[in-house]
Amino acid sequence: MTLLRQRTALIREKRSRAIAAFCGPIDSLRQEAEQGSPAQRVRTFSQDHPSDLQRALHLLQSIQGLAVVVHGPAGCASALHGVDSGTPWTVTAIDQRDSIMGGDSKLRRAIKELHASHRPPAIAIVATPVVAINNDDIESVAAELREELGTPIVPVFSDGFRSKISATGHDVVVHALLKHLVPQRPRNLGTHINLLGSSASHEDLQGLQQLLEEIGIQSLVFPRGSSLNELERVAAARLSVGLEGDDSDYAGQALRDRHGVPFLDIAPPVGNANTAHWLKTVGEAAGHGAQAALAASCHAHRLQRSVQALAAFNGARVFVNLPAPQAFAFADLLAELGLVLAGLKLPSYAGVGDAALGQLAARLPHLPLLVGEGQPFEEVNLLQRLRPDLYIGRGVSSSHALRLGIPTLDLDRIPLHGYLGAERVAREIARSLSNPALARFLGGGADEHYKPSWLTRSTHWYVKQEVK
Amino acid sequence: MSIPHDRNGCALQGATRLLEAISGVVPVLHANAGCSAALDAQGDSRSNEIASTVLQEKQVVFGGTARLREQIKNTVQVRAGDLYVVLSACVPEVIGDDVPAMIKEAREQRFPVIGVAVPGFRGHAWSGYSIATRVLLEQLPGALETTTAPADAVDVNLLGIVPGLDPGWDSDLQQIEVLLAELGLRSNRLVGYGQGVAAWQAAAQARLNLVLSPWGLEAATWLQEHHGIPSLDFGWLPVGSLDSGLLLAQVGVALALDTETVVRARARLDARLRHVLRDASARGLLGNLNQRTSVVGGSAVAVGQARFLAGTLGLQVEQVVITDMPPEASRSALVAAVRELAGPDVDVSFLTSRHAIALLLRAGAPELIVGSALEERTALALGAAHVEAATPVRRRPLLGRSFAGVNGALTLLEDILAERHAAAGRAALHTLATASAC
Repeated sequence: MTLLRQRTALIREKRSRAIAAFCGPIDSLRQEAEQGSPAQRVRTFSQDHPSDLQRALHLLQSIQGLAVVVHGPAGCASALHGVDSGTPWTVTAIDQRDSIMGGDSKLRRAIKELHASHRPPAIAIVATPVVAINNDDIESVAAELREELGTPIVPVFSDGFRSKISATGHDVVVHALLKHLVPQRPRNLGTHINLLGSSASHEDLQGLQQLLEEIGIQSLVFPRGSSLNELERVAAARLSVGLEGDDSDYAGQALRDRHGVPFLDIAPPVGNANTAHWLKTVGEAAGHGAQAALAASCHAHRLQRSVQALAAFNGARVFVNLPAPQAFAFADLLAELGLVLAGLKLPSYAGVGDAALGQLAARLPHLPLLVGEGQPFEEVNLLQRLRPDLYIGRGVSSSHALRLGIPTLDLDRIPLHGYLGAERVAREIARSLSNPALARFLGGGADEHYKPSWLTRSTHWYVKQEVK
Repeated sequence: MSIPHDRNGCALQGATRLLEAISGVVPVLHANAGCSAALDAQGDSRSNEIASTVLQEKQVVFGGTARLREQIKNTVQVRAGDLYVVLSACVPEVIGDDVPAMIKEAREQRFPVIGVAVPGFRGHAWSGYSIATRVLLEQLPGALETTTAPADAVDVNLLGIVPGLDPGWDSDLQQIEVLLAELGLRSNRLVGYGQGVAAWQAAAQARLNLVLSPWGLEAATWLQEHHGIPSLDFGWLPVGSLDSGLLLAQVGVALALDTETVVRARARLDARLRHVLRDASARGLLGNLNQRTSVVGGSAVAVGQARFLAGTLGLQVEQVVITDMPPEASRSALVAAVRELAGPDVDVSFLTSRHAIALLLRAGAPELIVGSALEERTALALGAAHVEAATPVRRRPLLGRSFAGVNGALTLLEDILAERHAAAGRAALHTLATASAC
């Protein structure tokens, strides 16, 4: 109950001991984690990366039926420029005067105009850094207009600077949706389960839903791509299953605490063995254990053909840049495919991943590990030493790897989860490794982006323990 | 006033895009996280490698100058560059960080650093380009040691085409360079392929500033006042041979070039375009090219395209929506430029809200919309053909194509013909499907 009583979600650093900076062998992080919590570190040189605001906007634009008012300077809404999801949105475009005197009246007018032009079922007001500093009273405006317009209005308290971890923006959105749009009343228990995911693609999640249907389980995805009409059903689910570790935790805990939905937080179904384990665990928890075991045995040999297709590349070394739960599970998929994990990059690391971290560290204690969102300068430093055969990321720029002549694979539009995901990933890896012409060409020219002196320094040069 | 589906971003983003487009210039953002990362959404920024102080709560409360000092010191160690430009964003401006003091301190240590205050609340991205261009010209000489190799002499500075905001800006500038070469003139593009700090140093020695949108005026005025370089405010990007020729004529007058040389160059441009259009006509490609047309885009792009579509191709241009909200002083000239070739009744509006633009387009019900990806839904709803020739462009990313000059005009025409062909195909399929259903 306590999570949703707060004004907004706690930052990840406080809620789950998450860290946003680390460079070193994976076993060092394991040791720190074992001794309590890994130390908070900062960078004394940094490169820009998305903040909670961009993550919040990216998630909000996927919610069907929701309109969005970004309360801030016009540029704060830029994350919405590149997508055309059909979400009606507007930005209050506060100017210098508003940044001093406050922009409440602009906010009121923006909400009314958006309401008049689109009549949306609900409106989210998204706070931005200037508004957070000025402490504009978004809550009062929301309360006032909620009544006047007869439309739910949801304040989303992103701020761009409280957390070093952008995924805090997902928690902030989940908090706002559950607190303001899901009524707290005795639930009419449904037969479906929730799949909790904020980052995975629609196709990826749909693949998992189909897999669950095979064993007779209906599912809803929350929060990515949720529909406002379905939010009450989310609270009535018989079970929530987290797909993305710390990223799913907030929704899982809030739904459990407030609506009594049991929460199952297990390793994501990446790779054949992990998918089988995931399917059986979810099946048992949902009362479909026998069907799940049968389905898992039916699919057990699905990856064999992919392994054969990759035989020519057996032992190829792969650098992986994925969110922590997916990255740890991906290491298992690589092993299944006969490939070698050469290095790992996680945007952040939270305590909830300790078991998975421990297992990987036990297997590969010297594995080079970077933690931090973005920061390609560190990756370039590490990659030019490691010289992997392939760089795999998801929705992150990898042009710096291409400049080094390393082929890259972006999983942003390729399903990662389930048996289908494993097959697709294997196929794409085989294609990427079979013709690295683009990387060869791009790596051929001089790269004068970073100073040679930086490339000879240790990768952790600019990562320091945070002084409180 | 709020902006539904804004397309113009903020001053910081415009300045960042400018700096990213200059080889050897390293932007250093003094900002919270995400201020440049947001640019990724349009897919034309290298922003994930932009140095930034990434201000945290501690700095917001206690001030971020120490963090900026640390970031400058380390950026010059990590990033290779000739010039480092600190761009201060909304948060340091609100909390009152003394950024100039940090720049001064860095300069005292002989780091080539300058600073530009471009908080997002000060204006949109076009204005950010305008401010940053002027400041760069102003501060560059004091920041650099004299060790930089002397630049090649240039004749004409090209100002006002905005990286990242004008579609195909790099190729467009190269087209203008080719155009001016017809008169034997050497262009100083300042941004894009092969343009570095030396180009900006050479700007002070040019003979003329050629201003291709209202956003180049601030820098041109500064160059005029401080280096005595005269400015030619052409006002938009020339598309087709008529405007390309007009540009050559005006440059010829401004630089007192031989009239016969200019006349011959104009004739060559006309002949080339006429040759291609006659051939296209013989192949039956130009039949019924008379659609009622709306053009939507920034000043340079929309005015140039509207003039070509109406003045050369004979399309019925009825609406022109200028989306970059140029200063009031520039607007009447832009309106006059459109009406000169498209007729006195053409409706020229200055709007940035996607919603307001959609309402206007619906009222006009054009058969062809030449605009950005943001107009696609409206075009679909109207059953109009839709060509993406303004930012944001999504369907067909621009890598080497341009919409400027004679070549750019042909590119635009190719896109219009392709879209007309696709629309006819869709209509045929629709008829077929309806017939089968019966």
